[in-house]
Amino acid sequence: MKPVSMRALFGVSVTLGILLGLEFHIDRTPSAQAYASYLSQSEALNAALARTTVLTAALAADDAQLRALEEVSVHARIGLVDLRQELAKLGKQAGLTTVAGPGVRISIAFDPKLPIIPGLSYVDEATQLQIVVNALQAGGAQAIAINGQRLVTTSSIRSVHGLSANAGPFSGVVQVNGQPVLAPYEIEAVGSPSRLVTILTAEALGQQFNILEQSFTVSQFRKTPIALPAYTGPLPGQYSTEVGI
Amino acid sequence: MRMVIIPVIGLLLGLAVGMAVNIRLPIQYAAYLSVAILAALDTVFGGIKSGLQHEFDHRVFLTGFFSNTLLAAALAFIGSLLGIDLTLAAVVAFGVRIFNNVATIRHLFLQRRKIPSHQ
Repeated sequence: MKPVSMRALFGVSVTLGILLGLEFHIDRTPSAQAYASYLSQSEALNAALARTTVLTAALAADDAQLRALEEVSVHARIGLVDLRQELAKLGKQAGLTTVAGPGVRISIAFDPKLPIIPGLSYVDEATQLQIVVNALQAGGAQAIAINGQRLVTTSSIRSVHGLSANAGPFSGVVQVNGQPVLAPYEIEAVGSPSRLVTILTAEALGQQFNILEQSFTVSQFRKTPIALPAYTGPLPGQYSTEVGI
Repeated sequence: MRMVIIPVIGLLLGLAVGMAVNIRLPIQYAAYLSVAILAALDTVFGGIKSGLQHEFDHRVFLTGFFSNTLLAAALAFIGSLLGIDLTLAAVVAFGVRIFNNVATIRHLFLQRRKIPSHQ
């Protein structure tokens, strides 16, 4: 046989072998099994599609809720900042913060060097202190404290009788914010020193106190600020609740 | 003897290549592939017979191989389109030819080896 014939026979045999080899790669899964598999996969696909619809709706709802919450969160954050600023402002106005600045210090004490008024048996020191405090407030004082007791809108200055063993018309003790305060009294006020001194002078409080045998010394703090403590006593509503309006 | 050994080697080589190919054929192609293989087998056996009879013509062999293979596959395809199982026609035709060729080859081998007859 010629070589070309042998090559042709060889090539055809190889091709036939390839065809036979491909025969092994045919997917001979039984039709029933394939159909069952198709059905199960089809059902799974339908279930997945149905679940996808539900999940898409749920996702959209969650997305809307998220946007709403984010919007609320932004508002709440802004509101929180505003509330904090308002709280700080109200706390400052209510005297719940320490205050430092220029101001005056008034020292009031019994002065034995002053002449004794015959027949004077009682001096209402609380009223005297209230007069000074009123004058300071009228002079634009931003914060006032008596012997470290910060005065706020609900503060009280009360006379206390019979607690002092001092001889004479002075008890030497008052109650400020419900706390006993002993003489000598130091009233500190933050505000314009010149205005505060002016109103004290105009009211002639120094002379009035001297008449009642008390020294009345005013110190000004223009460059060195005085610091007043925060009010730490009870606030309105601390022990009670509102019962409707 | 080379007439048998060379086709066998080629067959094994092609089988190895065909099995090594990483392909997945759907069951729908099984009929076409089967009749194509049958046609190819017929051509190969025909070629072996011609070679033993010293009448082998490689042009006839090659054209016969490809035309028979493609014709068988086309017949199966047309049958599936028409709704008639024409693969049966191809199977019968090629099956008869294969049997005839194999019988002729067997006779030629027996005559060549000069096995004494019983008659």
